[in-house]
Amino acid sequence: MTCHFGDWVSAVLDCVRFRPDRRAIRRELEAHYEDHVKDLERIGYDHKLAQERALGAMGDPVEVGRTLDKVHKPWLGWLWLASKWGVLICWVFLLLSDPFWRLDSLRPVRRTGDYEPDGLFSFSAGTPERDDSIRIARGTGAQTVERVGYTVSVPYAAVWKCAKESGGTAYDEYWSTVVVAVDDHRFWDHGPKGIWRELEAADEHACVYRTQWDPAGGNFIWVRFDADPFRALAYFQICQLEPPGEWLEISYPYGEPWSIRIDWREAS
Amino acid sequence: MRGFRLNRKQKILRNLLVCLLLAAATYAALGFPPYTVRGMLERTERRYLLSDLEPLLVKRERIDYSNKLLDTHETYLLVKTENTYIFTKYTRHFLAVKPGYGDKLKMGRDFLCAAQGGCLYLAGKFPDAASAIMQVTAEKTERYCDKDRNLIRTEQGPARTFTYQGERLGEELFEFRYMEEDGFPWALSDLPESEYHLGQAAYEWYSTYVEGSGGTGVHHADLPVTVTLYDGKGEVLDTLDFTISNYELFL
Repeated sequence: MTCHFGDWVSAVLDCVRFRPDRRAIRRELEAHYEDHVKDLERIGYDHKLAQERALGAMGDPVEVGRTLDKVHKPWLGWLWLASKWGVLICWVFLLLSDPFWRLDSLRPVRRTGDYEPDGLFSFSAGTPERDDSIRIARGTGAQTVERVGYTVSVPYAAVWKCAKESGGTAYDEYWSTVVVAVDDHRFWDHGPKGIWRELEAADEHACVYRTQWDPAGGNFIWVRFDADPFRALAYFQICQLEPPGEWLEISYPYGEPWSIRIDWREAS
Repeated sequence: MRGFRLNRKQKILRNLLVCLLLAAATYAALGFPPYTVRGMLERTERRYLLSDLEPLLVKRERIDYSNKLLDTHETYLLVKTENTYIFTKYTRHFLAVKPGYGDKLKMGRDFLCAAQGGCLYLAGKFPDAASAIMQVTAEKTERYCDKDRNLIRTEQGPARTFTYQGERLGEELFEFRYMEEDGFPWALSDLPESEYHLGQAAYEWYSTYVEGSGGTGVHHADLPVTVTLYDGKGEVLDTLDFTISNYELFL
């Protein structure tokens, strides 16, 4: 490449205001010039003459530069660069927000059938509470409740009897499992997470069981939570020494208060 | 054959569309965080099955944690619907917004008292109350744990009642300031106990000492509170009795 061509390219690039494009323009002009020189050499021109002719064919550098400047408009160029950085930054933000943990919650939760097919769910296999408990009663909520787009229901409740012995004295322990379900059509929603620690249960003996832990007893313990985009399930348990009565009522005292009654029926 | 090539304008458009898609995916991955008070109210409504929440108090704080690159922004909301009052907070760190600790802060029917930033806020329907006085009683209760013998010994100290004049902030809200906003209760140096403010008493008077190990902590206690509401003539309208956690007063 002669120094003449170098001067010609510099004159062209001086006219291009969008500096980040100058290197690419230089490469393209050089490639074009070199191709032309090689073509001329192929048909018999000597190298020096081929360079002169090729350079002459490139035209007036200022004219070419102005034309290129019109194509490589600075505002368009900067916008393009900004959009490239924008894509990169958005990728970084997405990866930082850890989108993969959400995939876990896409697995559908139970909607029908037995919510405790393997026995008293909160105890692992091999424990006496799990292996020796007998389901003596079952029930479902007598009604559903509609609030702010959610449907609250009790699709499953059961009472388990577990025979125990302490100091040579045999006694029975009763475990009640209550599953509260909340359905909605807002896949982006996480369900009414705040209510699980505010629910109360009451039975016909006027015993009140609260989700706020009380060492003295009478606890309605929130033990498990499952959710998919359209349904949230909260599992609660009550442990007591007296057999449950005929019914249990789950209630929420805030806003527009509601309650759902479960009538126990003998488990088959 | 040359492949399809986009010109610069088309590339910009493509990149902007990719940005939009990625931003939407990020927003979804973050759990659709609420950035505005309106958004926070809607989120609170859905979290607690409430409707038509009305803000009574909105307080914002910026916290510069030394171990975090960016500031943390906390928005405290005291809201009401019908006869339910909620005090909750949302914490924003960079793009993520999370509701308050333990999923909720405080919720009450008919009235609610919550502490934040050196003030006790009392929300409720007191239309005729022109003024209010709050009395909070703290009683020095120190616990000594003997781990070897599994014993806890309690030593009671003197009780002190702190009295505060309320300032009406709105139709359903009184504010009682019990310490300066930056009156952090720890690092008390040689201040005599008689000069403690309520925040200091709530922290210092409920210490738990683990004997032998030198470990200390602050145990939980519910402090009795009495609020007396007065009408414009200075006559007593009503008296409210409830308790407040000592943790609320200094955390």
